Amino acid sequence: MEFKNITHERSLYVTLGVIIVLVVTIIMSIHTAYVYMDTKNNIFQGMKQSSRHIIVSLQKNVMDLMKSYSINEYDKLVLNEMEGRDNFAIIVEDYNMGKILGEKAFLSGKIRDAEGNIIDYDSKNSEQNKQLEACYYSDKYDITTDSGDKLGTIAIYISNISMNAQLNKIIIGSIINLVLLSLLFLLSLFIIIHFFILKPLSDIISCIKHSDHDGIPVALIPNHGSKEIFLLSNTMNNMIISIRDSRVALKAQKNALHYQANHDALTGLANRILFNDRLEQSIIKAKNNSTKVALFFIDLDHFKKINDSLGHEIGDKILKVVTQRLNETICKEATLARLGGDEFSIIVEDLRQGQDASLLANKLIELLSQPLTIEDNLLYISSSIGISIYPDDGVSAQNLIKYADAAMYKAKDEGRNNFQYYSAEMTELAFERVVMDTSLREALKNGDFVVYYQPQVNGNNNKLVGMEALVRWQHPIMGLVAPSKFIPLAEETGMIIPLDQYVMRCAMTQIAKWYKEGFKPGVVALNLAMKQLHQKDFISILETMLKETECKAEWIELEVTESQIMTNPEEAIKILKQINDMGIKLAVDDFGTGYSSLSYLKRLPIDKLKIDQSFIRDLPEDEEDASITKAVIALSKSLNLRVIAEGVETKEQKEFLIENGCNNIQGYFYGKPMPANEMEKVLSKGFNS
Amino acid sequence: MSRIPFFIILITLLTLFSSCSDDKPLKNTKNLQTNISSVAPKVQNTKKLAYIVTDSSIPFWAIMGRGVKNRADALGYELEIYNAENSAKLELELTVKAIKENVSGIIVSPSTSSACVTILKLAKGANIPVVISDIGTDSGEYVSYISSNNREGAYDIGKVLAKKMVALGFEKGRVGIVAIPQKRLNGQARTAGFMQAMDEVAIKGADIKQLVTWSEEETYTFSKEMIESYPDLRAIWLQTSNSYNGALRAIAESGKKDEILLIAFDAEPEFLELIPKGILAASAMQQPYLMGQEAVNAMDKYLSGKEVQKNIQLPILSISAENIIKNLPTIQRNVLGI
Repeated sequence: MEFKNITHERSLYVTLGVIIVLVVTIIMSIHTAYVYMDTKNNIFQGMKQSSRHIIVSLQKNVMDLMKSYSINEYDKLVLNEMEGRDNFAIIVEDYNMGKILGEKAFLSGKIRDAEGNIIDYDSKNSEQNKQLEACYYSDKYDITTDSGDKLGTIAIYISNISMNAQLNKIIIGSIINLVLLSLLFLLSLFIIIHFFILKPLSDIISCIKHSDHDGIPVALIPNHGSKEIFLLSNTMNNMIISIRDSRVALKAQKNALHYQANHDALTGLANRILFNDRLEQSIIKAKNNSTKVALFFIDLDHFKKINDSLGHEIGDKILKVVTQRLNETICKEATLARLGGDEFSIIVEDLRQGQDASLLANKLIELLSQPLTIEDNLLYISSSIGISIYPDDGVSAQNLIKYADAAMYKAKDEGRNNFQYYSAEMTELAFERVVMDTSLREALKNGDFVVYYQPQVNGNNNKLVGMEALVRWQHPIMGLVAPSKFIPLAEETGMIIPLDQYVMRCAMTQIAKWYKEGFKPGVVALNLAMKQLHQKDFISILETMLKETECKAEWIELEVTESQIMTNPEEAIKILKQINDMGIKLAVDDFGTGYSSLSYLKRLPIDKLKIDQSFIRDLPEDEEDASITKAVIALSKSLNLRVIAEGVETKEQKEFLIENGCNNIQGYFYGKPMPANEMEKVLSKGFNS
Repeated sequence: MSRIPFFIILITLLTLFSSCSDDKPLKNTKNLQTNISSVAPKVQNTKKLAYIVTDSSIPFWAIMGRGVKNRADALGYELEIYNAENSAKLELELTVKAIKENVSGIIVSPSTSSACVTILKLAKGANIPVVISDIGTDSGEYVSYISSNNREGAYDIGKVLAKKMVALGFEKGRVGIVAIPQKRLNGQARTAGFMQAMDEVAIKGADIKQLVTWSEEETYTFSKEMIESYPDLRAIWLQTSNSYNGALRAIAESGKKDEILLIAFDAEPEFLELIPKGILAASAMQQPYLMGQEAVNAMDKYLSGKEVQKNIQLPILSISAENIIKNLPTIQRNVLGI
């Protein structure tokens, strides 16, 4: 609604005000006019009556005095009559005196001057005569003797001055009444109008003004006030509700249209339009976050043949199954689209390395090569996947699509049922990764992983206090593979969980065995990935494991890295408390690298801090490392925690640590990680250094 | 719309009403045109005065007329004396006549102070100055009013009487008054002055009887009544002079000539004998001749453009046997106009 242009419109207040003023004025004016006329008439009648009384009382006396030529005496009578009354003049015509003067009559009498004082009438005074002429009312009577002789006349004049004064009073009074009554009326009517009309209308306007972006009022209009306002509100509310409903329907229709425009009708996947948009968005996001985007082009091999031979219905069903499989495989954040026919595409965001896409590609190849049964037909299909990487291969959506498509055809050329990167180098790296992943799975299955033990020694007396169990991969071809080569991949693929459990089970079995055999291996530290802790049944697995291996809880210590704890400290505190409740000790591994918050550290149910080897390496020369190490030791003491240093290789390092209060030492200085049989020797002989 | 109305409508209505209030007068009289100015004076070259006197048959007025005449002649005025013969109508007619004669001034001794008002009004209409000699006027414009100091005169004569009564051992007795109408100012002044003198010596009063006809018979009746009503009556004061015989007769008939004193006001030529003989104990004598003269003097002064005293009061002579000889020339001239 447009409210800006209504400022020149007349307010309802003003309009009503004008109407009220007009009506009140007209009514009061008519009333005043009536009162005025009535009063005037009454005054006039009063004047007539009064003048008649005066004349009657004067007539006889004046006649007697006229007869005796007592002019001054009747003049006095006239004066007496004038005094105390408001008549304007009384004029006497005296024929007797007139005769003396040689005239028709002698004129005398009294008249009022401008101030209302009674003065002698002077017949020569033209001003007085004019005033008499102008008098509102006059009456004249003959003065006759008892015998009927006419001696003269007596005339009474009444001006309208006093009448006008009275009438003016009435008019002024009426105007004051009119104004006061008008004001009272106005005030009353304005109050009534305000509360019964304008206020409800203002509420309606205010409610309508408070509208959403479509201009539809957010709330319904309050329906109070008079019947008409109530009806108006109700009608408007019905209208609003109707508009809202229409809008919802329209929106649903719009959404449906939008969905249809952006999605594939058969599979419900994003179509090319939406795919292009998503790709653009992913590129922008990756650019901002400095991450990589992998674009997969998946084409089902020989799908045309299936379509031609089994019909489009079967073909469509295959596409639906493929869609389902793809959806189950990819992560939630990835975008899956059907670009047409048997072509699918996936956008995978937040990659650190281009080759990270290879695992998914491999999984997809495997997944799609699984046979599928459609209407009792066992079908074997395969797929070819082309991958382009932003920004390695290109920075525009158009180029990435083009390169992924080219890579897909390359995969077809390579004999189908494989994936290809647009970059040949990348493909190679990816294969290595895929091979490693496959090997890890194989190794776990074949028991190629072995557990090594690195001693932990009290530096003061060179006595073994415990050991750390560490995993090693004994590859049948490559030999012993370093943990740094496979642990990150295992963490990435989730294989770390079975791997950790394998190591823990092996170590627990070994410890129990040693204790049974009478050795004193101390507390064996086991590495624990946080992913492990997120497994719902980890505690029960741990309990089962302890039970099955007959390993006591106090014989082991679980190490969690500081950085892993700090990714979700609240969750970590919760789970670690459960572990601690089992009687298993807890240590923070790699302490000093994970930005621990002291408040969390205080709340963690831990027993030990393990100073990361990166701080030990340059001791005691590196002052910074020395300071950090000292600080960690001091911190552990203040928190009443044990402390151990790992990566200790030299005597100087060991002595520095002991000097500063860290007695527990782990590192090459006392021994490299070693297989169980070698450790048994150490357990038997002890350390001689 | 918002500017319309209230005032326009109001003004319209009020205009309508006010036009109603300005209705033409409801007349049943014709224009009054006759007036005093219609008494058109003649063109007069010589200075002429008119003396309008209420009744010149009364010695007091006749004497005053002589005083007027004497002084007018002396000052070179032509004088016309108009005798109203105690008629109000004639008095007015004469006034009109005098005005028509275009006299330079009018000296009037009116019949009543009320009648004088009309005379003054008529004279004013013709722009003629008027000097009033005695009686006075109820209102109106005049040059000067010449009168006797009635109160003082009455007081003085009262003292003369009191002295006589004390000398005769009559002070315990009462004094009756035959008065002129007390409506008249001079009547009131005479009574007040006399009573003051009586009060000073604690002489009690008897009745005050007011003259209506001024006749000798009336005076006789009043005097007789008082003599009969008040056995201790020791004096009668007659506030006038002409009806003194009525009082003397009543006293004589009562046989109390030596027991009741008679005093009077004004004078008659006979008083010149009666007072020395003790028949009339005393009389307060106005000086009408002198008043007439003073009236002309005042008029002359006015006509000469000189300042004139508005009220001139002339002394009254208290004449008894003791001082009558001494004051005889004055009495003869100023009082009796002989």
